[in-house]
Amino acid sequence: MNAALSFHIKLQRKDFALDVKADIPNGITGIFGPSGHGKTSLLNSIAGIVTPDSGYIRLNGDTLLDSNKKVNVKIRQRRVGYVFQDERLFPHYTIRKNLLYGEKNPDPELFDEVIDTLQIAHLLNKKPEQCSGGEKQRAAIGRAIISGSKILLMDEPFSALDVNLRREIIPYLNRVHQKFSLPILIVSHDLPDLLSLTDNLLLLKNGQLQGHGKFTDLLDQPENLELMHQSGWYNVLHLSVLEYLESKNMVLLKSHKSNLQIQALTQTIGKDVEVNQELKVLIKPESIALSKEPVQNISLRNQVAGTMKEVFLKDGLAFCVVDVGENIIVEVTEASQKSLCLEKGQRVYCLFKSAALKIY
Amino acid sequence: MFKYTASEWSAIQLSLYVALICAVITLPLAIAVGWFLARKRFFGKSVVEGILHLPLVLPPITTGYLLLLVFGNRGVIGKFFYETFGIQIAFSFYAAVIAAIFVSFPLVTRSIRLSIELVDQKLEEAARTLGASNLRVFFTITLPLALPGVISGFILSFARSLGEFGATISFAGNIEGKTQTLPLAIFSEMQVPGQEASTMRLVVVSVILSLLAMIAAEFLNRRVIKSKTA
Repeated sequence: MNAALSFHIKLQRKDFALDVKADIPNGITGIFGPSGHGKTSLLNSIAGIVTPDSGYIRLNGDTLLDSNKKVNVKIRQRRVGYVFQDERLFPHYTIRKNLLYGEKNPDPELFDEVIDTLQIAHLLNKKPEQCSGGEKQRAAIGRAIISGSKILLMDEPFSALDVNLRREIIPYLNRVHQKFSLPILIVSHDLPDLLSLTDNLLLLKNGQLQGHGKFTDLLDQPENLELMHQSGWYNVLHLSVLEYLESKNMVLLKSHKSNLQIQALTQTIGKDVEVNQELKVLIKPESIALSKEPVQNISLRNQVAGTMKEVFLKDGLAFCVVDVGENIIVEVTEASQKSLCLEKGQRVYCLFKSAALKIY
Repeated sequence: MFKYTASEWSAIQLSLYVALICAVITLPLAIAVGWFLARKRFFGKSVVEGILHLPLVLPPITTGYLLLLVFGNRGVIGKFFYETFGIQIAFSFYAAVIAAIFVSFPLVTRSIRLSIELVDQKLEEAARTLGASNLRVFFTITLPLALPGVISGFILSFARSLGEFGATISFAGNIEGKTQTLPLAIFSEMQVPGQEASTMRLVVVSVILSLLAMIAAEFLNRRVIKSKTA
């Protein structure tokens, strides 16, 4: 794997130990885990705010920390852009001065591109106190990029925002990644928010790495399922627009990797999405029903055939991992699983409403 | 009644002059020490704080006497200055300034330290991740955000110096035109029968100057609290 960031961080505090080793590819990676399990300590170690007891951190081939070689690059020389949970814009400066704090004379093209991508041009002469939570968040992201960061670390970027603002910031982050091709590491204890941005996850529990990889691949492990289930979760499918079914107000989406095709409501994707444009489609595991045969005469628009890969039972629920071209998780009751005799290797049909889909 | 004599004017001017020089010298020292106490942890910090704050609770005359011991012609520092440069510190204008510095320093340091403690360290951390050196963080983040407290410290130092009496009279003496500041002049006038009018004139100036300084300091304190809770 071509890693943008590699690290092995060991940190011992009074009642807490962090020991995490991972190679992070370029792209958006989500760090997920319950509160107090080491996510922020991990980000702080990468940024240099906290010094690990031992280990190494390498960013794009540059060593930021190597306890064996006694290398520990200072915070200010790491070029790690840190977007804090509470934005931390400087209250006595305007947004423009905040943006230029790290780099007084940035490339004008970059500056314009950042304010254009994040749509903060109208805020430049305002003080942070005059901006909304979402605007401050965008300004903080812009400040980190303009200061010449080689990676963006974001600590719980959604927690300070209400539900509408969360949805607002997500497209900006996707755009930032695409335009500036910066690796982005996002910490969150909210899995659905994280999954709306990325399906490349790093799972942390009790300061240890429990899993690292694509969300759908992580579903294979029962302990991962348990960890992720606690937070509420979604299936994430990468689909693109195949065609608009105008008369029905529906759109047909297909997967690049498999024959998977599903129908969604046009209004959920917006009118300006073009054919072949890739979209992220989210569906809750409990919104999917299973049947062993195709069902005739039913209002549900989606019936996707797949093979049962795993079944895990917990607290009266059955978590079924179904391969429909990629893994999706389906949550049914244990009673249903028993009465239908749903087992590994069986062919099943996943049934869900078009209206149950969230699309980004 | 309000026709001031030359010696009264001289005491008023000298007082303002001593207070101003004292505030200007005290401020950078108090900023450095205030920052150090606000941001650093070290062994024996309470002892250092205790020593620094001592002039706040010591009888000023004791402070004056101790200063005389150190800065007098036979004192450790005083002897050096007298023998090397021929400068006599005690009972001079310098002594009036030094006495004012010593008594106002803990007051100013407390004010500045408090305002620096109120500056969110997370903002300083954020500045460092953006590439700022410690010095730049201090001058662009910490100091501007603590500024109302610093200005209020400056005024406090000025006001405290205006009122300084005990340490000055014991260390600088009561020499008209040289070390006789406003409180010392009031004291001298009080000793002479029939000088009630002169005493009152000086008292009025003293009250007005002190009142103006305290109003300014209070105004700035409120601004600090307002900016922190906004």
